[in-house]
Amino acid sequence: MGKSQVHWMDAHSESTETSLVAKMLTVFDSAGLDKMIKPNDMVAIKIHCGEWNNTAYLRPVYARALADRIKELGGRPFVCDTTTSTYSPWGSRSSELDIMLTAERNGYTSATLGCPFICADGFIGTSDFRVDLPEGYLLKEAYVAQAIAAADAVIALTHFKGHSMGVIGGALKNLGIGAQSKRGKLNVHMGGHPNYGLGSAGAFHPEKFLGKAATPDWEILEDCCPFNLYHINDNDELEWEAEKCATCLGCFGVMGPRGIIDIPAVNFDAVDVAIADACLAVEKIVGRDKVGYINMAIDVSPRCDCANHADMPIVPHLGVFASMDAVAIDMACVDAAKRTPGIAGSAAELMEAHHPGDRKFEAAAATFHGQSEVASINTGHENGLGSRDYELVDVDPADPEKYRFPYDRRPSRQRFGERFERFQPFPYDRHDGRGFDRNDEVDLEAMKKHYEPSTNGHHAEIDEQVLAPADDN
Amino acid sequence: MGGEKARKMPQSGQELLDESIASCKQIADGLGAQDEAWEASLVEIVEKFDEISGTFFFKTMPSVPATRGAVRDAAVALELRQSEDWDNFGPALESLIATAQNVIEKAGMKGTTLT
Repeated sequence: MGKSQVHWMDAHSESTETSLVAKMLTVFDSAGLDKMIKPNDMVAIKIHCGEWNNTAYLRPVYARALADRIKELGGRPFVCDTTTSTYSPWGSRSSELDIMLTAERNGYTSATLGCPFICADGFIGTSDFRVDLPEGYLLKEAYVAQAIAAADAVIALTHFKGHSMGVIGGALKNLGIGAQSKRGKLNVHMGGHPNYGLGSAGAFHPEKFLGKAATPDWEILEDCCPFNLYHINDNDELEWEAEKCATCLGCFGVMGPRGIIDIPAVNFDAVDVAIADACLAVEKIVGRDKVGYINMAIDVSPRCDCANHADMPIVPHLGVFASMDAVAIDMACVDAAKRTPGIAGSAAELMEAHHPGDRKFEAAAATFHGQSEVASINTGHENGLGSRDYELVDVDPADPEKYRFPYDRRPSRQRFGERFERFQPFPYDRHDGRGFDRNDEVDLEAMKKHYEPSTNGHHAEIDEQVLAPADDN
Repeated sequence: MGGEKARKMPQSGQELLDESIASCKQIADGLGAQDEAWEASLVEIVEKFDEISGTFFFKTMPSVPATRGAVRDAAVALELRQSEDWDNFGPALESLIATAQNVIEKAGMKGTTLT
């Protein structure tokens, strides 16, 4: 496979046409994603609506603007996410009911999006379509969320960031995990796998359970598993039906820290590989030329939007990327993060991986030492999904006229002239036409003084003045 | 693509813990002749570190900053011990004890989230 094009604009913004919303739409058109949309196409915009209390997920305005653009092209957009695996005993998106409530709290509603927001895999997460994957590197089948499998076109609108399991959370993961049903997620997470699943690869240490009396929160040891596979027997011993483990991850945060189960790093490596296979399944069922990718590499937090928190970004905003190739677009984002200096005080610096050239996600996002930030990318290259070799196309801003407020394009006098005459906001009739009661003159410079010295030389003269004892009066 | 030369991957938390245990043992060896309490503190650190060694936390990346701190503090204390700079050794040992305490608490995985 040859080089794929990845269209890119940086994250600087100083005008209408360079706002990140405008840039997203500009690269959408530039990369040819607009050509995918035919009149009456049902277009799934796959987003991550964010876990409860996560704050790094994409603002809904990006999905809204994209939905509006798809409507301009004659398509029928809907924005969607899927139920999650029960990866935490207290997850907020494990059923349709929960995810709709979480999405609404995070701003994803039909009202804000101008199109329906739906849960693509049904109430529990079993509404899906099975896809054969003979070309898969690890997976030989996948279960794609029904609403996505049934769409005429799919836009993966991705917040590019880190992920503790996937290492990166990019386009591949948005579809390789995010477009799979709950059943599909259990497949990708290696549930029941003879070598890579938790049931087979996770070492169980029941001796670490010291009995109910010594474990005040012992109930969570049973309650963390929705498949009811952990039991404390009549002898006050913990038992685990490992052979039935679906690798939903629900026990990871409960059993791992207590040493009861050694969470196997090989499970994470296998999932990272399977992500690219599952992403391929989406393209196979929707159409190889009917799936496009936008990566918003902003607020690049080390943890995924599936965490119930968001750490500070590890690198500055990297920009806005668009491509028809999921592999190439993620590779471009990884490369951008690698060459960019990490943010001071971030997890990248904490891990001493903040220098240009450092593999920042492996250090700051991965759970285990030895995970690779390119495992999903390499698999996607291997299974024919796309190419890690890419050409980065630097896109120029478009005409600002395209991005102005669309509902009334007349300038201010035409819109407000007559109204201001009737509903005058400036009280010309008061204070001799000056309108408001204010001092004629005050010492503005006095309010600009700094009371602490600066280190960058700005206002050095003022700093010296304010440090004089007399100024403390 | 991605032609930049990557820096060497940092050591794992377990490797760093092992390194700090080795340094603590080296510092403690014969230290009782100078101050028995100092030696006892270091022996306790080694015992606790041995106890938590091999647990899940040290297989994870979040263990790296804490264990790296222990390695650094142990290196400082070792250098002071070797140069017999006892005036500065006491404060350095206090710092090492605080860092070791942090490692032990973190090994309980408080505040660490897996998804």
